[in-house]
Amino acid sequence: MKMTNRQIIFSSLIWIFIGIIAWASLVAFFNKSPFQNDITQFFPNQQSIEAQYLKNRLTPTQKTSWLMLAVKTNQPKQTLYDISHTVQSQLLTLKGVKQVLNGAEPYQSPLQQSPTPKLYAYRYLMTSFESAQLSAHIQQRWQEYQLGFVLDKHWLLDDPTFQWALYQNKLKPIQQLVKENGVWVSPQSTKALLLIETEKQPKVLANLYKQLERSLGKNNFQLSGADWVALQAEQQIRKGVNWITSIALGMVFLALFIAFRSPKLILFSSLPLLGAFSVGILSTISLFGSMQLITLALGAILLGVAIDYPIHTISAYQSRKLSVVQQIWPTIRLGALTSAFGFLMLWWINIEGLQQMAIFASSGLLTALFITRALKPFLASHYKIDDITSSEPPAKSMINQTPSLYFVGYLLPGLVIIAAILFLKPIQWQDDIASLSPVSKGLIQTDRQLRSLFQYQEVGKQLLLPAKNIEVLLQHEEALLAELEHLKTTGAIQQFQLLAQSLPSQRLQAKRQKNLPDAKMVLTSLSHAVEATRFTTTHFQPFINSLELSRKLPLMTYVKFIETNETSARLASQLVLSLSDQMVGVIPLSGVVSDQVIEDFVQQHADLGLIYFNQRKLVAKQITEIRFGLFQILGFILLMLGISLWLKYRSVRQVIIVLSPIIMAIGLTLATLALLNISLSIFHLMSLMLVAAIGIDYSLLFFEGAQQTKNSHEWSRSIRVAFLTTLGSFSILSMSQLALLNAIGITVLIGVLWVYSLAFLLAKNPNRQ
Amino acid sequence: MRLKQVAFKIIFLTNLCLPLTAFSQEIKLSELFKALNQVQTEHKSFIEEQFDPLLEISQTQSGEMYYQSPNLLEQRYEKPIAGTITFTPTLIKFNFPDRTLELPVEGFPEVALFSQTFLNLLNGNLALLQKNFELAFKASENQVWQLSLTPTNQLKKHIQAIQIIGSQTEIQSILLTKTSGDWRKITLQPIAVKTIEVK
Repeated sequence: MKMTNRQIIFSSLIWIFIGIIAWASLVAFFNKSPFQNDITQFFPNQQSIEAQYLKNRLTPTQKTSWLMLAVKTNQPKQTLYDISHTVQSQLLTLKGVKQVLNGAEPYQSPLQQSPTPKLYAYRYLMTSFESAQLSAHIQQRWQEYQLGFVLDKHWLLDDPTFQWALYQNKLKPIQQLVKENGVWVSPQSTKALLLIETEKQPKVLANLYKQLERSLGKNNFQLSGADWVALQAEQQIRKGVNWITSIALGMVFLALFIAFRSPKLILFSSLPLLGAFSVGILSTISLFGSMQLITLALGAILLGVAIDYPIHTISAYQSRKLSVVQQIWPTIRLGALTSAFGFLMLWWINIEGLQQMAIFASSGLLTALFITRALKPFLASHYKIDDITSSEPPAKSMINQTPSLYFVGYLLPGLVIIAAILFLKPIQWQDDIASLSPVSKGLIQTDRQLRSLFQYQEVGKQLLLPAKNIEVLLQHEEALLAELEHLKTTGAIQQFQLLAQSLPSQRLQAKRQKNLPDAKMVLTSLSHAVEATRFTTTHFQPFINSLELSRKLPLMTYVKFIETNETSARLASQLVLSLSDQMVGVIPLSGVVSDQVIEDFVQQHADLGLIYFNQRKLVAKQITEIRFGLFQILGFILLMLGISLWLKYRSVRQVIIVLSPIIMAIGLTLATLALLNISLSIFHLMSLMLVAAIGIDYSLLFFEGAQQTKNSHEWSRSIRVAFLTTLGSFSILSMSQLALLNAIGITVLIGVLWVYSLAFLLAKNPNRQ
Repeated sequence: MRLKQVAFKIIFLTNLCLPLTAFSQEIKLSELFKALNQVQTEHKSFIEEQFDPLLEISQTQSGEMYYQSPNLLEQRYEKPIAGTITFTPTLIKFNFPDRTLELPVEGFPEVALFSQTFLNLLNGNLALLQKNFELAFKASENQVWQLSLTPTNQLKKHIQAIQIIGSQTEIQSILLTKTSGDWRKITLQPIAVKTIEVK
């Protein structure tokens, strides 16, 4: 049976979506984790040490989360000791909580651990042994022994100077927190401090918070940590995005319903956008192996222009005039193709995240165009218009070929006004990405306070020390040690940590090994040391044997150090960055009082290649570079638009007429934002690309519509519907509290208002025959 | 003046007899702990003996012991070293001429065991002792009793037993024996009353 037109139409649409579903199934089958959340993909591929370190830092490697908790007592007679232990035991019952430390952990003798720590045998190489101090130590040990305060007698006899305890303090500086009754407390003894290690699961963190709220009350504790802050940011984003995008989508559907009065047409106008999203995602994943969630979020904004294609097409068919339908489609096609090609220019910024956006947006727009084209026969059938090409060319008016006042009357003054505004009120750029964070200021302050209480490293403030190999690195760190201690003493910093504190260089180990006394010397020292005690030298035979063994031990290497235990491996991963041609020592700092003091310190040690890594400044610098790149891309997009228009019209004047509303709208948008004292971020710039894409459609349609001798109002109507839809949705976004959505909303709102107005003015240009 | 001294001695001895009268029968464990719970302060002299079979060292120390209900126990060493160790439920404080230190009880459970046990005894905290130890109580008719504590938890790795000997409500000695063979014994005696002769 011959298929009807309707059946053909539907079957072609169905085949398109079957194809998309089949593609999606293949992708899902071969790719188990198609979506990723790696912010480093949006940073430039710079080769500087700081840039490489930043990328390394932002790539999640930790398998567990660490949280800082400060608790006030909430009952009159409750001590900090009580609250500390109560909270500890409550939290340990929760699923996903691995350990809760409060400073009261029993100290275990190394000889009572099974197996004995591998580094125990190296204690005389890892720390400095002073045989001159032996006598004082033995006296102390005797006093402790007399009073029964001996944790492990065997350890006392094997390590009477407690070198192992000395070394442990360096491995775990957190143990130096103030204690009261054996538990960690804040310096003014107003809060108990606890450290919590949990599985890296948002649910675990959320449950833990709920438990604390329930048992302590919201105002009696402070909780923070890197993963906790990230979770709060995610929740804020989700909350903000969910309701605001729902309202924005609602506005779009309302506008479409008002324009078309048909649920079926609304459904069909959604199909191009749905197809655009799907194909955009599938193309990106197929090309790159995965897709970044940030690409999806930002790319989706660029796809917003795709809703205009079915709107213009349906509006044209609504006119029920064949000439309108025949003329409008090539214009829509030109607009879509130029926009798609323009977004493809993002590929040339050479940042993978933005390259993904290029593929996502351009393939999405082309798909939207293709599906809109597939809808045409249905619309023809719906509105009962025969979709045949008319042999009669459309009646058009001609643009005056004599020198137009348009350039002098509109473009030049416009550009002068824009330049004047921007000169008098320059744009303020917001390159500090932290200012766009959705995390509340309260939580950021809490995090800062807790880091200070726990003497934790500041987020984003480290010293970087490059060296050609690990041995040179450790030697350089040893050279810096005394001066870093001086910085601490003077209060310029609260705390620092170096790998060299836990793993001395081979040179230092060799020196210590050489200085270790032989058995005869030790015996002589011991015999003096035990004089005032009832110990005998025989008792300390294990100590003599240990020293003798240490004199012959092979030196501890970096590789062996990592393999000894989990703590060493974690330290190494935190304190050393291994690059292809060098090793970089990371020296975390906490309690930095003044950046200038650190910068002066770095200057003094410029010969070592020391770098002050200030994450915020570096990110801001990279954002500035991305900003310049985006400006270039915007320029390229306008250039591509110009070339495409030239290929169509072969007239410079006509190209200028179509392009100038877009150029002026972009300039006036920037000027308006400057006048409104709004600091611009890269998200404002990306939104300008959407303004350009929407603008080319409006400008072309107004221009072509103005050239029609008949039915030009039908062209205007389709632009009006698209304009009102865009206005409704982006004005909702502009009211969002989330800085990102607000930036996009307000830029597109102002930009679209300008481009519509300017393109509309063009339509009123009397210079036509 | 001499009459006054004699009168004082009679009163003192009568007071000593009162508990004797009260406990003329064999004392029970619960009664003992109830009576111990009434004790607000104690001030005794002590002799501490230790023996270490590994190092073959035996030593003796002496001083005075103070107890303040409910949670303060202080040992003031006089010989051979002078200094103070103060025990609270959470902390052990060292105070010696060349060294002061504070150790959390949880960090050093074995070290704190003696003081914890003594505090629980003097507080009459039977339940707490039963939580960590198996108790064996033996009382005889002459009011002398013996309480043996055998650890039931992880302490039994290092502690063999604690033996407490007392008479009426007075604790006379505590002997702590470790699984390694080390033992530590504290013998408590009343503070000697110094008599002043009036000529």
